[in-house]
Amino acid sequence: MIFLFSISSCHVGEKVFDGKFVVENYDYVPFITDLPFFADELELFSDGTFKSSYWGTGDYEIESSQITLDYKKRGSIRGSARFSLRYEMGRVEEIILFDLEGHVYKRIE
Amino acid sequence: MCGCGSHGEKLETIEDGAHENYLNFGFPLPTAHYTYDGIGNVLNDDQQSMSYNAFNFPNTISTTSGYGAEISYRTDGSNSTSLNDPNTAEILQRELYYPFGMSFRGTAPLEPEPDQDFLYNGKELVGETGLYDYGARYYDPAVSRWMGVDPLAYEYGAWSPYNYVLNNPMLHFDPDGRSVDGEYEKDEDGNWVKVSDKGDHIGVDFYHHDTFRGSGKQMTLAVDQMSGSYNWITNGRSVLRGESRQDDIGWQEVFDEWKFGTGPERSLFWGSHPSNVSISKHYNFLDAHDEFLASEDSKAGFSVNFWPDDYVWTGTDMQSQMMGSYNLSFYRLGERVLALAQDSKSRQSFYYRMDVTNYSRSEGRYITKAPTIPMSTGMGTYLPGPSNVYSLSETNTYQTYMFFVR
Repeated sequence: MIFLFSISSCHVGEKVFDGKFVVENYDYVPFITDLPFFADELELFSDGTFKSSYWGTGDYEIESSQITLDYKKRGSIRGSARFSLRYEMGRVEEIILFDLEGHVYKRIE
Repeated sequence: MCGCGSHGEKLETIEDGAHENYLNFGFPLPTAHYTYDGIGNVLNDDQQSMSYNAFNFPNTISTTSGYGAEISYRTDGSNSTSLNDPNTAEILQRELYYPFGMSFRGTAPLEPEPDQDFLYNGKELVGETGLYDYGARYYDPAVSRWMGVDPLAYEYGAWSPYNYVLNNPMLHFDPDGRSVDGEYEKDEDGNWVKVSDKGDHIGVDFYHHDTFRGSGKQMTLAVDQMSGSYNWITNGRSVLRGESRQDDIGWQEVFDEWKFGTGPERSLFWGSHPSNVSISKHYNFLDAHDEFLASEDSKAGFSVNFWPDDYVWTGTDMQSQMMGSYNLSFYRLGERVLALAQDSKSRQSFYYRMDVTNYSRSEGRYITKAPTIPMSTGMGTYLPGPSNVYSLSETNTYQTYMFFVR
């Protein structure tokens, strides 16, 4: 009975998105346009908003294995960026920017 | 050849009031002076208070003529001029042109017609010759040809060295008689300097800012030559350092170049290149494009993944299979949408999700020993194994596919 209670308290099936992520393997990035080219920190909040040095602030939306960042940068630029997600135990561990080069946001908190 | 009119007037500096600027908006600049060279190109543009058209020509400028009267030049869509009295706004001189520069006398000449020689494209009509002086060469609008060989003719191998703006003056513009449009960066003095003709491939001018507004970001302003509409691209300069590839370089050649360590490390595929046609027809691309059009975003990025189930649907679309996963970006330039698909070939490309190390060209990991088994040039039979893993180059190559979406 205690075992079953433990499982139910883990909210089986409920995924965790929010947290703080930092960019890895950005050295190759001069080849790629409009992706962070420094160790940017991206923070996803539980209310569906995000904050980042590169993207600025905005809303994020997650559909299955993809995340969309809707950002509004200073000035007239308004845009969005969609990336794949990698989960571990129901928690987002990586936001994959450019898979072939290992260019990812990796969870740090 | 100097840029002097028949009365000796020469545009050297400009002082004007405040207007909205075009290219460098947001930069605080100290003086009210503009300096031009003898052929009308902006040398010093520190004020940022004027309006510019897509070709970096001011829409309104003023100078003092050799006979002491202040006059104004107002450019139209082709950078050609009319002459206005700044005090009364009266049009003193106006000329209309066919696209290649022949005068169009659809309106009666104004009387009295002032002697002002900077006409079609704002260039100087030289005396009685009927030729325009663009700096590097003279242009004859009567035959739509240059009077001299293009000093950069080697960059336009498929074209006559006498051709004018690739025979398309509605799309292209030649600022100084050397080449059409292109890619620009600022020199140490802050002047825009043309560094390549790559923008011409798709009718876009690229202006690179090393540190955009002091942020450390490398930004590129992409300006549609047709409409003057623009958008910002991060890291555009580095992407454009790639080598432009010919239409007969397809997915097989790109793959082989990666495999054997040959060819350029960075490749650019422009416009209607067959690879771009293939990409633009794929449903993943079309879905992303539709979504972008439905949004109000000025730019958007997508991760496109063909792996693994899409192999079933791509069938013989080898371009898609060769690219596999790639990054796709859309940029609005007015009514048009510029697409950038960016891919790389690396060891990760073929050891998918395995813990392998990618190697750059600078690491010099070219063929280290002769292959012990025959290597097919086709992807389908490429089976890396112990006998040939280290016989291949497998140093990274990068591909950018850039085109307007139809």
